[in-house]
Amino acid sequence: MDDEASQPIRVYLLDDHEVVRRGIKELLEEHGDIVVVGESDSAREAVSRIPALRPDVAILDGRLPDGSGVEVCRDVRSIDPAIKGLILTSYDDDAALFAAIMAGASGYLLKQVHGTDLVDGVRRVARGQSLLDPAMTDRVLDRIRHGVQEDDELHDLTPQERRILELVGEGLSNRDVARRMFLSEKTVKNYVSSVLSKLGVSSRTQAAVLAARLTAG
Amino acid sequence: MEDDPGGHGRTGGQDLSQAAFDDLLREVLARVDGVLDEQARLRHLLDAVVGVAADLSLDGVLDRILSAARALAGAQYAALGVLSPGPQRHIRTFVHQGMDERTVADVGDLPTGHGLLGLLIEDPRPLRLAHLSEHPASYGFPAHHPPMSSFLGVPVRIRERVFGNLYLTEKIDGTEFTEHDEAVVVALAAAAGVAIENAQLYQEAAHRQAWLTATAEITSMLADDTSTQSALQVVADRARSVSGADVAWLVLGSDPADLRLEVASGAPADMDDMHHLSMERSLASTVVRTGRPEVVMDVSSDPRAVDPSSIPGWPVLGPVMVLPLRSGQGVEGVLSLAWTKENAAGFHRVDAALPASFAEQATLALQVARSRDDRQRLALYEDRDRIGRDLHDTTIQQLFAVGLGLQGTFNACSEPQVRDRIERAIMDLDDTVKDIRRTIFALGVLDTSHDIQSEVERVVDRAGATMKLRPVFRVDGPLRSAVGAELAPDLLAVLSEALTNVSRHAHASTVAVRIAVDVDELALTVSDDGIGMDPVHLESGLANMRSRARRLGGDMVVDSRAGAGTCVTWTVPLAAPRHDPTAG
Repeated sequence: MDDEASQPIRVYLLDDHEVVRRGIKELLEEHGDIVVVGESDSAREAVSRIPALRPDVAILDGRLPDGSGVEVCRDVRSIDPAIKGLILTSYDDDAALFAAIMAGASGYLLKQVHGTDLVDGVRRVARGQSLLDPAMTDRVLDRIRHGVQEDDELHDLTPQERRILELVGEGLSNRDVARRMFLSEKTVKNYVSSVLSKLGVSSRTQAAVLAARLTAG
Repeated sequence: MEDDPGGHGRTGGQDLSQAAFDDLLREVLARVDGVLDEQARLRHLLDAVVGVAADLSLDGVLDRILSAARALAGAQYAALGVLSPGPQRHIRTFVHQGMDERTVADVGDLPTGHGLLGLLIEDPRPLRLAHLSEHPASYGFPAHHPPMSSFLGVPVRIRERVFGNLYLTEKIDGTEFTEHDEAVVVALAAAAGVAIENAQLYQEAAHRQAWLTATAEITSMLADDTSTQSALQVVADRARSVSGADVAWLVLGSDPADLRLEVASGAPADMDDMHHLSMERSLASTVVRTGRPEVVMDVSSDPRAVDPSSIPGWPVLGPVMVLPLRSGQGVEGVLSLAWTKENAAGFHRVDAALPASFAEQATLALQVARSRDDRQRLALYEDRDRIGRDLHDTTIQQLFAVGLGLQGTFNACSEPQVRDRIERAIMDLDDTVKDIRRTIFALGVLDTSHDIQSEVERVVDRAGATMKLRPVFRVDGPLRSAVGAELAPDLLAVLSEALTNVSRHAHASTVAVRIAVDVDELALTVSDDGIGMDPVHLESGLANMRSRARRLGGDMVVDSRAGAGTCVTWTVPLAAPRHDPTAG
């Protein structure tokens, strides 16, 4: 960190709550080694601005009114893999962990003041470390691969979706997944969106599950 | 009366002038007698016809016909053999009068239409014999059969069709039946035909009415807030009572290979006992496949059927009628009606078309109820989702923002006392956020969810209900990702054992359950503010939990002091996922 003292870590903030952005910004900038170079409250704006600003770390709210931080992260990293993503979420660890893996992010931060050290997290990610524990990631990927019996959510996936999920879990970008599976990038993007909504990364919605069953029946 | 020149009741005026007055008087008296006698018989016949027609139940009508026939012809015994419909004209039902129960039991099987009885079936014309055993068609009597000599057989017709035959035997005065008797019985038989047809029509109308009433009842019940399961039970109950069957049951499923016996009426419906029945090869499966009703006369011996009498508490069944539950989407299951062998007559009385249309109506009603249930559930889920979303998108964000603000103040503040208070406030906020997260999770849990966190929630909730308090429950870290099928049973067993201990011995007013998932370790902490545990209790009660921990390479620590509550911490290492190619 000593070497980086002269060159502060550049951070982009995406969260639809202004108070949250302000609070995080204050915390991050307090020590002087981190600067927030841009912020926005919508996914659409973030996708266009982040690659242009080229921050070291993008802190992305998992759920946004016009999309999800997970998809923003995938889009941005497809363009510029050097930008590290951190998913900020109000959901619990399981959902957050899964979201981070899906996003190809370097980690997740729960929306709680203690227990997640925001500053330390950003520093570590900027240094190229991952906050995701490999063993834990493995467990999640394992669940996807074997489609654990008792897991209602993973049960609803088609084999194609499962395969895509697996590649995504291995850290492949949409473009790489598309190449591997002989699909267009757009198709992969759509698949990822549908998987995300099925797994309720943005919402564990059983209404959606039931609604799907009703229309299928 | 045989010498009655008046013959068949004709009482016209004859020339009496040539007779001597005495003779005349005698003659008149005799004639009056005869006329009176004749009139009495006509009156009897008339009474009988009226009486027979007055009963609207078929059984009652048949019984009255027999009584009237015996009285009118002066017969010891009377019987009516009802023929089965269709080309094989044998006796389907045999009702009789004149024998006491003992004799009936001794004689045993009822006749089916051989010998003389058969002759009348072949050639439906009145047959009158002085000695029935001398007739070439006579077949003889079974053992213990009372002696019968004189015989009068008359067909009973409904319109042109022979319904059955009326048999009279043993003229009471020991002589034979007269031409006169025959004429009276033929007249009675004609009236009987009409009465029987009437009764049949009435019975049919009553049956139709009963099925319609049952259908309407189910439709209206399902329009109310009745659960689908209890509606199914009512369908089975009504079908059984209206059909007069001994047992009725519903088998549901649209896949012939995956059917389940859902409810039963008239026999215990303990689903555990029914799982062993292999429905794939059952009659139900055939009906679901073909969509056509099936009837077997003896389910216990028919190779196409699974015999349900192997279910504990079920009677041995004979005839079974299996009707499809048909809907717009195909066949959704079957309604089965079954009669015991003793009660097989009840089966013959049921026209399969009626329960079949009942089954169809019931299916529609059930479908409506089911989709209403689904819609209600959908509305509930959507509501819960909305609440969850609001909590997530608004409440947590705001609390988090406030927490961040406090953290900023904390960092800027140098006053130790204020810093402490800010620190505590931040921790409270974080705790609240965790509680809300738990609520959001619980709102999204399907009743059928089997992931480890839902299971843990259920164990905690149940224990809370038993102790009449709400345990604090917190999960830190990715529990669902970390705990696989190999660890889940141990975790759940230990958790419920720990909570049971608290509930039995601690007298606690607050209980906290915390599961912390770290990268390589899972720690379960169950703490209470109860009376603490004495060391003896402690070891015996917790030995099992400890041994589970040890087996998994972990350990358990108990901290308990009298009056200061108990805290049990159960720790196990988290193994890296096994890459077992056979898993899944």
